[in-house]
Amino acid sequence: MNGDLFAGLSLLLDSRPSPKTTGLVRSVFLSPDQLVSAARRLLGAGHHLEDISGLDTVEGILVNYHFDDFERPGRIALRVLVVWEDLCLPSIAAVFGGAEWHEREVRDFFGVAFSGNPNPANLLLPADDTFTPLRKAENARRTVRELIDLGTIVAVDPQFDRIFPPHPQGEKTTKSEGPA
Amino acid sequence: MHYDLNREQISGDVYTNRFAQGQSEDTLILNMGPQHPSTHGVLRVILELDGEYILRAEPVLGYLHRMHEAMAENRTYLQYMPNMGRVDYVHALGWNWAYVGAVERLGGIEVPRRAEFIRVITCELNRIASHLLWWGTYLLDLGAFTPIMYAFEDRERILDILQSVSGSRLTYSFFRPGGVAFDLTDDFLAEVRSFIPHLRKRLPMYRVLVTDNIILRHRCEKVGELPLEMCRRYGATGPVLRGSGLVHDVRRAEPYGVYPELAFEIPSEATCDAMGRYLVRMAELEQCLNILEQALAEIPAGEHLVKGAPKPRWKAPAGETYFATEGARGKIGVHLVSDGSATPYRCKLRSPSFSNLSLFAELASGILLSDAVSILGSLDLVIPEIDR
Repeated sequence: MNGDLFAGLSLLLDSRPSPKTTGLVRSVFLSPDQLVSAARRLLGAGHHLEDISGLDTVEGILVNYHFDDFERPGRIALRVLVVWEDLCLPSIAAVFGGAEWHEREVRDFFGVAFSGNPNPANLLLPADDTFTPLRKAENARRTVRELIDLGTIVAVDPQFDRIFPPHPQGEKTTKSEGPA
Repeated sequence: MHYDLNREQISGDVYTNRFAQGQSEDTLILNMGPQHPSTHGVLRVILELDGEYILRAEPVLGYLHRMHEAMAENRTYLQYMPNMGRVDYVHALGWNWAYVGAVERLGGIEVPRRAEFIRVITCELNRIASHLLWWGTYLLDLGAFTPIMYAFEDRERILDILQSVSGSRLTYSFFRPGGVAFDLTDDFLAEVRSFIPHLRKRLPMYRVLVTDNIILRHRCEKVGELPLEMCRRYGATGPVLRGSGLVHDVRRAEPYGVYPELAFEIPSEATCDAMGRYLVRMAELEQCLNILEQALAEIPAGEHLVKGAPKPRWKAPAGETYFATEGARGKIGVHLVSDGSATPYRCKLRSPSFSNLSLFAELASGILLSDAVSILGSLDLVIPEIDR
């Protein structure tokens, strides 16, 4: 079933991480314009939305959508990068009603706007707060490749390496892993 | 930090004003909570009422928001443990387990077999305590005063038992990556052994006293009907999902610990209403006792904490992981991302009550105000877990 779940959508990267270490069976990077179609496919296949969370990285804010299936368990992560120049994503609240709150939470914590969210207001922070508590200082940021093990890659678009360069700061990688 | 204050343009309350923009004619905007007794803790729901009927509802969150996820980023992996007892204080050990599970998965840490059984025993005791608290307060919301006295009498025994091993009565911080903080004593096991028949004797009394009561039935049956399709769209889990007829439990769907070795049933009710959710939780109390009995019979001797378990300055290998457990309210998820340092790079907490409450606005349109109390109670909300 997983094989053709996203057939016809242009994915940046489709991979199979190790469920034993990551808790995921599939990890998919896609561009923002494919997000709503991918969510529709997942709903059609009987998946439910577990959560949406942001991850502050060098490249931008990587928004992770976790989906699971009640009948055939196996967690799928959809990952969409929001670049610093344009912190905006299409909302999937029209597909998964539960996404409305999760998106508002990401908006509170990271300042990502979700166009099409039915109630784009602060959810957990006070109504007039805009201080995005989970954004990191620039020198504390890591690259997506440093943080996320891609696992066994099934399909990759050439664009992926342009967006997430394989060794952007080769020295930094070895330094940070040294003492660990 | 900067504040964008537009207060001069807005008079009155921001949330109510925004909600009132969609108001129809001849309706009343009413704030239920944050101090309403049935919203336990501080949940606020803004309602638009036409007579006694709700046209629209919007929960307002954040009164208990503590930014637990940011706290994870400024302390070490072990220092974050006490936060887990404060996210959902009613089933704190469910959160303990989700977090240590994520850390163990990230670090590839083994857990001794005895520790796995200790986790099952304490976590299930905590689940019983949580369901009893829900049971008492739900009935209190519906106007029955006596049951909470019985529920708290039984729950106190569990709190005494858990206090004897963990040192705390509510906000447990008992699990550790690689095991648990303290070993169980023989006295503890004897106490649990005597508690099981005690609660078994009480459950039929609860049934006669409350579950079969005609008033309760009328307040719950056909109230808050929640189709399975809606659970899927909102990511509802736990007894809320099982009350809508689906047999799904993280302990079986994504097995962890020694649950695969233990025989227990996953209760479900196909009625999809508040009564269904009620009956699921009551049946789960019995299943918890079954699990406890087996775990007590099979608990082996051995270590309660693995040798070389993470120390306070332990550094996790770089990478990410997701670990889910079945809490009393549903699927608890911890998404940990590590950059190889002693502090989590990111820790996302997936709270079951958050998703379960998010469907309330859709469920509440067109119902009676008194049924809203019944529905909110049947969702078994713990507000600190929603607000985190």
